[in-house]
Amino acid sequence: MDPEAQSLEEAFRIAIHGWRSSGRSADLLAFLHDEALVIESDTPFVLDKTAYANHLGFHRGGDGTPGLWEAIDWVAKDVKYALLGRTGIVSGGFSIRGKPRSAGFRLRHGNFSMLCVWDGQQWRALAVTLSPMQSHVLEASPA
Amino acid sequence: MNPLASAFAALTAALNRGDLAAFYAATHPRMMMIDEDSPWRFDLEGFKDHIRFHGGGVWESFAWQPHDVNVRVLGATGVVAGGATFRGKTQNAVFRLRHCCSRTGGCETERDGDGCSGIRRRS
Repeated sequence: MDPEAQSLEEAFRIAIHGWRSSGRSADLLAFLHDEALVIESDTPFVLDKTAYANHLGFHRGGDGTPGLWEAIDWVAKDVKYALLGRTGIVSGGFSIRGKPRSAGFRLRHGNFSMLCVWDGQQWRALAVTLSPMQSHVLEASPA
Repeated sequence: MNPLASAFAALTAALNRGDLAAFYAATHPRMMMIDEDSPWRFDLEGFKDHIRFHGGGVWESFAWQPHDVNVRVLGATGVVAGGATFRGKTQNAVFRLRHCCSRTGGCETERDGDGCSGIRRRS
């Protein structure tokens, strides 16, 4: 693997660890470019970074507010990296597995893609999309 | 108009008039597509195969309508993200209407504004 691809993989791994209960939201948000656009599986709208940070804060807590989850993991599967100059694409499958406080387990599978840009010093995500499997066509269409 | 926005508008127009040659000409050979019709990612050949199925006379009418589009460009990398609606009428069956969030990544290459990462997400 060439150094740029390796650095993209490292940046991605650090960022997605921020989605885990053992990780830090700050690592994920640092990976997001200030101009980033996010399509998230919880919302039917495109989020900018500020709105996404707000949504993440709702789940993760902070500033004296407890998080809403006893445990949560974000697991990437079959990850592929593509480099086109200073553009990087990370895509794969994902599973979110978690346990909210005082409620049953949550399990959500889907595909994801991150469009990343090399700013000369680091890779940052300009776009993140989570496409949960529930939103894909899984049944016969009406006649 | 921003060059990426222009390229996206041209891509949309090509799709809606069924001009697949123009559509694929603006699509990078290493593109990746998440499409709501499939639980797996498409590469370009996989996406072409899927579109061949849809292009085989199974639709009376079809349109893809982006709306509330956001455009971001950083150097040679760009993204177009917003809402979109599919509306169509299949042969011998009723209408189809599907709303979603959609995102298309672009990277400037020797052919300006090539799409390199396509995402469609139904929501």
